[in-house]
Amino acid sequence: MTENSSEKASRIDFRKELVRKFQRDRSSLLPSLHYVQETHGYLPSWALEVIGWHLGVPASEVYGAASTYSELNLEPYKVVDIEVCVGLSCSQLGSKALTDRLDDLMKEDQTKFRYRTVPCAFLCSVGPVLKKDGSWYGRFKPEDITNKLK
Amino acid sequence: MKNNKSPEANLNNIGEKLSGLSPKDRIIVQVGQCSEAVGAGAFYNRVVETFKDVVEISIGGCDGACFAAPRAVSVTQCDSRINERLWALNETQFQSEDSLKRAVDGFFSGQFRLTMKDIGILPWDDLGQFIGTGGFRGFAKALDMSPEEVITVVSSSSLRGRGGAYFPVGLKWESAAQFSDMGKKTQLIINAEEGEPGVFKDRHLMEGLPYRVIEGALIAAWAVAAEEVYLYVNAEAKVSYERLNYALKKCLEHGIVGNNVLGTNFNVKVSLHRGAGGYVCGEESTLINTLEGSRREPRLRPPFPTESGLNNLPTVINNVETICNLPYILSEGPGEFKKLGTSDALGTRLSV
Repeated sequence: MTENSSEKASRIDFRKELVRKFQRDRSSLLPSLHYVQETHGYLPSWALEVIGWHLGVPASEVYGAASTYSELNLEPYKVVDIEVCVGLSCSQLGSKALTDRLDDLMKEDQTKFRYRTVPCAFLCSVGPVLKKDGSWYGRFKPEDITNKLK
Repeated sequence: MKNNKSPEANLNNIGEKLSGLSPKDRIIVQVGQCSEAVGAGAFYNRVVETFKDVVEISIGGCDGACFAAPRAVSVTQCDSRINERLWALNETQFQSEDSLKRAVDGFFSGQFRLTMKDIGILPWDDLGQFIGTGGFRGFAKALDMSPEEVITVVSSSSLRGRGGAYFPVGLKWESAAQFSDMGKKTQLIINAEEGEPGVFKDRHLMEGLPYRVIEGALIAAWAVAAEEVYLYVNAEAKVSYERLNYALKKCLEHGIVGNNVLGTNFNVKVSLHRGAGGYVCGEESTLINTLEGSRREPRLRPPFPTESGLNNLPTVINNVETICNLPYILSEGPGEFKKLGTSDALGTRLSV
């Protein structure tokens, strides 16, 4: 893999950050993965290599561990405007009606927004829930979509 | 710092030092992860705007009446007119104020709140008030006893694990103690990784009164002679994580966690860890793998964690709700605890 000098510099900076923040111990693996996800939004493969280097764990094992966690993104996060929870409780409470309504709106105007369905958002008591601009909205009704989501 | 006073006297000192800071009258707005999704933040602002010149307003955890969220309650000698106005402010999916009141009253009638005691009535962050209403008493009592005595008390209360397997807590502790006699240090993990859709009992406890979770963890740590406690919190439960983090810092500041806890020679280090998603992380051997930095997968058993768990040391793993029962058992005695529940399932059960 070829890398230009700026990438190399960012690797060295990142290594320095890791040294400051995390012990060189295998138990720091998950906290450091969390840290990368918080700062970069996802886990770039070069960061996984640097983490492995810092903790003395083969990069393949870092990747192996990282790939098993559903909260960690190995690829850049796709930008979506709206997320709808289709977990067990929310589907019981009517998230299907929400996605149907959103589908209809998408048919009318493709460019308006994009949405995706996500597994349980852990807000079961106030379902169905919908996420917009980083915050969740509970007890969402299909008619709220046109009212609240302008 | 080590001193010759009893743990209870040291605790009273801390309580007295802090009690001057908390006002008597206050309104508690119940803000948690769920109620935030239905506008608890905006509701809090509205309450502040209406009552800011009248009483103190604090944030507490949700008391379990999720259907009525967001809600605010007034505590102590508040004027009845304030109460009335507060009810009127509550804006939910209920048709009228009366039907809301009826639903809430019906929900709370017949409940015995043991683990949820004071949740939704106390501000989540006020250590002084928590100690003032009996917090950390169970822990102070435990410190007066030897670890073996604490295990005996808990065994005689026949408390069983609330994580799902319903395993007797005393038995688990005894078997860990047996392995730690061989010179290995016991590790204690508090399992707060709940992934079942629709079930969030631990979150209510952690958001409502994080101090009680810490108290329970400390009692368990004393009983199994663990010097390291790992609190493993669900990745999605961000509010719980923040509140536990704050509470831990507060406890460290006042010498309830750390070295020479409450003037005794008990040293305990409590650390907070975050999961990274996935239902299987709540399984105890997977949880150990996660803490060690391995792949998220279960281990074969035997050996059981009590024999060889985290870093091959004897490890006790207890659920958050289980340890929240401990303060009550220690402070009121196992007899009181056994009065609750049915004959083969003693105590209370939290269900959300």
